[in-house]
Amino acid sequence: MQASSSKLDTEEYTLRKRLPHRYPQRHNDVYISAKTNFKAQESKCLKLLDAGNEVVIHGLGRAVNRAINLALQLKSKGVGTVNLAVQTSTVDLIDDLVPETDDGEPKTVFRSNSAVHIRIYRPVENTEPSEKETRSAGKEKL
Amino acid sequence: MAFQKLPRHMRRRAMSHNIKRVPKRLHTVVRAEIEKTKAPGKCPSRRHRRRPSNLLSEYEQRKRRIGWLETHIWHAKRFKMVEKWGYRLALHPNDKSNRACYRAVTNNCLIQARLDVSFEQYLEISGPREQIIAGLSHLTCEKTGLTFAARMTSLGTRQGTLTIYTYDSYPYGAIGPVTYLWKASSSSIDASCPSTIWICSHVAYYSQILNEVNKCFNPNSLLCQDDSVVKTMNGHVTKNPDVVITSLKDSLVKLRLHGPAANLVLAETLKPSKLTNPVPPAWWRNYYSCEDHLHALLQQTSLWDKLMKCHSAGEAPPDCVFGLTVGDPRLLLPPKRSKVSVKPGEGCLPSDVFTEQVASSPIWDSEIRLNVKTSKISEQKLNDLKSRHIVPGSPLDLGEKESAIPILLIQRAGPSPNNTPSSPLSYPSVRSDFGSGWDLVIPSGWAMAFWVALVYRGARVGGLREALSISLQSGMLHAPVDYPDSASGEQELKLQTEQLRFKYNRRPPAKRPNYTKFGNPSPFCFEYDKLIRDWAASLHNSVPKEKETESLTQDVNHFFVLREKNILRLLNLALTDTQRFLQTNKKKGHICKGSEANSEKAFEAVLLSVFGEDQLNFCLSAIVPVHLTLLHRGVPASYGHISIPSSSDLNELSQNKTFGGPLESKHKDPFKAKRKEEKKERLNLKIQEQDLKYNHLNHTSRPIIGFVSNGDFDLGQGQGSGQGFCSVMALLELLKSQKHRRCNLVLVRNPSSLQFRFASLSIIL
Repeated sequence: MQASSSKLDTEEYTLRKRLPHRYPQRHNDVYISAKTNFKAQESKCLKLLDAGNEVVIHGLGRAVNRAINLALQLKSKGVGTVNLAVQTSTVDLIDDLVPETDDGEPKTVFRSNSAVHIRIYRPVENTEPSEKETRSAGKEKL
Repeated sequence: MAFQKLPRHMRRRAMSHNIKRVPKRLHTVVRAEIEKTKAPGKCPSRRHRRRPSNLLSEYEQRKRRIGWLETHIWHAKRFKMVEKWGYRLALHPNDKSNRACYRAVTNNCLIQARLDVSFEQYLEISGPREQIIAGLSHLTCEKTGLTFAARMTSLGTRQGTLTIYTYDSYPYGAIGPVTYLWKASSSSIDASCPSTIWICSHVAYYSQILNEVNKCFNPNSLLCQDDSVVKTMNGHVTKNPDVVITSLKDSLVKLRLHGPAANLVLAETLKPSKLTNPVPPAWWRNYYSCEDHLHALLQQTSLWDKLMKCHSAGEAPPDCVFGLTVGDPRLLLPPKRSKVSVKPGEGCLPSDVFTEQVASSPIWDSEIRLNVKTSKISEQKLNDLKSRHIVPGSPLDLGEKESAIPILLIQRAGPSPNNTPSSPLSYPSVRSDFGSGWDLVIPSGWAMAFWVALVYRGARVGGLREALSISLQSGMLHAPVDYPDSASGEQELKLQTEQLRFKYNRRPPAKRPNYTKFGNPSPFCFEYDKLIRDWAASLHNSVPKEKETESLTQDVNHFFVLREKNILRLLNLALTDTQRFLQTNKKKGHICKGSEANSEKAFEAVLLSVFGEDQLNFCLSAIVPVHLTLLHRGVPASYGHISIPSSSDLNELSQNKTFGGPLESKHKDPFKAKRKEEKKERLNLKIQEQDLKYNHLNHTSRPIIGFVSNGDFDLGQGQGSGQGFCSVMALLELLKSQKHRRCNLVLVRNPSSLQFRFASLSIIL
């Protein structure tokens, strides 16, 4: 969603992206960024998975690819013991247009971006979580 | 002493102790001398000195020499204190290192005392808006960005930031950056309606700004200062029929919160006041009897509820302002220091809730401020009440006696996207919310109450060192050090130079670097004047018979910092994304065909057409602030050199990706023989300041284009980064030499090292 920046004249406005709304984070929630080292993210997730049998990773916008890639990597490393439950959502974002000239009025632009929430878990033998539970877990996040 | 002059045979043991051993004729003289040299009377005992009243009187006495912040005692117990700008300020905490403070900024919350009296002082100007704007327009230039007349800030819903110059002297004579805030009023904005503006400036140049503002509104105030300037308790008021200037020294306190947890900490600390009905009517009965004010109060309270649920200050609109009236923060103090916990909340902030009404606050009224200060219930009384409280530790309910404090919250957005120091090779290096937070403005007298309440919610406290490191990492300039063309900046740098030189001269020659051998002729000061002169001279030599020579022959004497937004933006694009810069400007149709565009002349033509000849001449004596991100290893240090890499360096880098950078060959010390001779003769062993003649272009093996002003290891990025200033002419030279590259690279060399390191460069807008 880079449209807003190209439409407007950079001489008159600068685009400032506000942060997306932040949600409370459990210890096994991992937010994926496009900048962090992939290996580091992977080892972090593996550690959490070994400790608690469940990790939820979230990716927003450009990080969606990465989040999916990471989840699949974890699944292949788990050799059949790891399951995935994928949920997608839309996140509302706000951009501020700050005028560069004295006469300009500040504006805000609303846009939405897609996000993915992947629950990676090792099913425990007797209490295998049904699909309903996975859904509700995903919904809690947003 | 008189008895020391006695002949030897008349001297006696212990004469200084016992006056009877002194000859009688000298008794009067000696007695007077002893009286004079007597040590100041020490207090009888520590217990006596620590009695509250005695302690207070001692504090009052110490305060007389140098200014103290309201939170001074708190800081003095925990911080390294330094004397700066007439105040005793906290430099850094004694218990925590840089890294802990960095973590607080990224994950938690860091507060920093920025009191009115210390760092940032307010100045109030009230009068018809038209006149104020017209008067202040002499101090600003619209080319540098927004001015006081900006519509964005005119309603008082947002705070503005700009750089102030001395009266009509742009581009020279910068004073420093200030923030300003118009008083929000519910009535519509007219050009002639009375309005009030607060200008907030750093204490280092506050008096200078006060002078300049005075000059704007009464041009003859310099002639008859005694008549027009009346000293009052609150600072000084200039008598002018319409416009009144008041210094708000000592009447406002500003606390600065950084970091994502700032919201949570504030939400815990600030609870909207209940506004009870005391018997002698308090200020709020009067103020909130007005329908508008009461409506605003309701809006503010509902907004505060929403804002509390946000987990970061970055979710609010940039620079937004809103007022609030809160209860006494001491009453809700938790029994123990704890950390705030994240509470589940949802929703995003609609931007239309930040209206003029929300921004209005009773804090603008000086009488209310005074009232709030005087009606504060004393700490002693409060503790007494707490001790008699039935359930210890539970919040105290004072009922009618509780005071209500008007406050102002101002959002500070982190680095703007343009400002983000990005290494062009990767994505922006800093999180976009790094350093974002809130400024809390409260009436004076209440600083300690709010301070302790914030600290008890888990906010970590930083000092001057932390402020500098935050501004370095978020790619923003730090006043006044990073404003070398202003008087206060110059003074600050001079002080730094003296300190460094003193430290250097204290060591013996064998235990300190020989900067002459490292090829650094000015290791303790920035020679910007010489830098621009050298580059102008080289340009003069290379194009001897053209039009430009006329302007070049004009004396390039004194440098200035270029702050024109459009030139900086073009330059930044050219440096960080050269190919896009060339393409966009080719499209404009200025230039010749594609094949020719790569040749030397065509590139010069592009530059000339884009920047314009006038502006290029204007930039001749300009320097620009740049942000440096190192490519591989190394950490830049202050007073290092920024140089242009040679083509062989770039070739080597393209062949070997891990190439660390070229080496400077060791320089010869021309004074070595002389020093040896001196040593032989055991004469003066101290080296004199040698007046070495050199040129920045050929002193080292790579031409110097600028200096590193500040550099450190960037904890967010995990590599070295720094800030510096480069000559604009030299940067254009750099562009010419690297026009084929995707982005430009420079070399950085520390003052006591021969190793050059590659770094990418972006301009700080």
